[in-house]
Amino acid sequence: MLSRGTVYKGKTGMWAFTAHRVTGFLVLMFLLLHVVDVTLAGISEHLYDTVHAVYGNVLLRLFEVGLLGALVFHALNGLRIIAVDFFDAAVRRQKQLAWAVVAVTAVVTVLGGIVIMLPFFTHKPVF
Amino acid sequence: MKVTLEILRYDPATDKAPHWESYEADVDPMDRVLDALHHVKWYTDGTLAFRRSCAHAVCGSDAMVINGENRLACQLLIKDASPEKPIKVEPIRGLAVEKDLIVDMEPFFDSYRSILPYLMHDGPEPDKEIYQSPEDRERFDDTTKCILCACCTTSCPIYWGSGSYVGPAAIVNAHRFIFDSRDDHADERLAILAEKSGVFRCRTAFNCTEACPREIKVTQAIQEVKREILYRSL
Repeated sequence: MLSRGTVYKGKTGMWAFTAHRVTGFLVLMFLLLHVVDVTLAGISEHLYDTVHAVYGNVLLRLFEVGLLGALVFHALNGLRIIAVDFFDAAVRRQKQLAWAVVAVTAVVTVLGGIVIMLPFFTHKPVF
Repeated sequence: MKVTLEILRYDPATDKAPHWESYEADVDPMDRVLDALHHVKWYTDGTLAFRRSCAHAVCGSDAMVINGENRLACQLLIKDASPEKPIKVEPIRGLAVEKDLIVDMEPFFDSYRSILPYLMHDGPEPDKEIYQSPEDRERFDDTTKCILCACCTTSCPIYWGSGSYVGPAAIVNAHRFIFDSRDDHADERLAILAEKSGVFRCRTAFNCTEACPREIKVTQAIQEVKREILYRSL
């Protein structure tokens, strides 16, 4: 029998690893959804328009903000992992790099979130 | 002072699943967690099973999960184990529990043996020691410190999920010989570690480096082995 006790109290590296897996899974799930919704264009133009109109509602806009966050984190943390693979200095500073990834992700997600959410309230595109 | 120990106990003869038991122990803040476990075993419940041998962080037999992290019970002082709260003690993960805090270490040692952890020197057997410069010795100094306690390997999330991954400890010990200027068989070890169960399973979660009681830079060593495989293949 393998031990299954409390959650292992890992530090920055373990949580970056966990978040990388979770965000990777979420982005993959969206990709599958995206393949389906784009495929609809080949079936019926009306069906495609109807489904894409749904993306305009507030819940799916929030979902898109989350998707942006997951995507940015996954991409930046991927670069952190590559840096850790090739440079000793990145191994020594992996914690700082992980926090830098979190900080940049937060900034990009908030700014992107404003761009994504604003049209819902103003009813016109930001750009 | 009185401390409470919460121990994840499992007796295959009577238990279907592990369960938590709580014990009180009278210890000094400067005692080790191992002393508290001894207190429980000697004065409260003699059926409690755990490994320990030298009790001074040299033999590496008392690795366990203490307050959610891999530690040596003989190295962690009570005062550093948040004694104001119950101290949670569990067996290390990824290896089958035999009883209480004792796990089957054989898969761990199988992985260790698989990377040929001994010096292999070609040519005639020398009649005295093989010369090595201080710089060449320094190259693998960090990885000579391993005591095979399994703290690193059993803190690795990839190891928990995959029994086939060779694990950080085996890679650390391979590193110790791969970069030893007296050894002539680095390619053999690198070929073993380039396999699917080898070094590229590492996802740099750094739990191993955090868990090592000898403060070996485990992830650093693993990355050096990865790069050696890559650069030699170019």
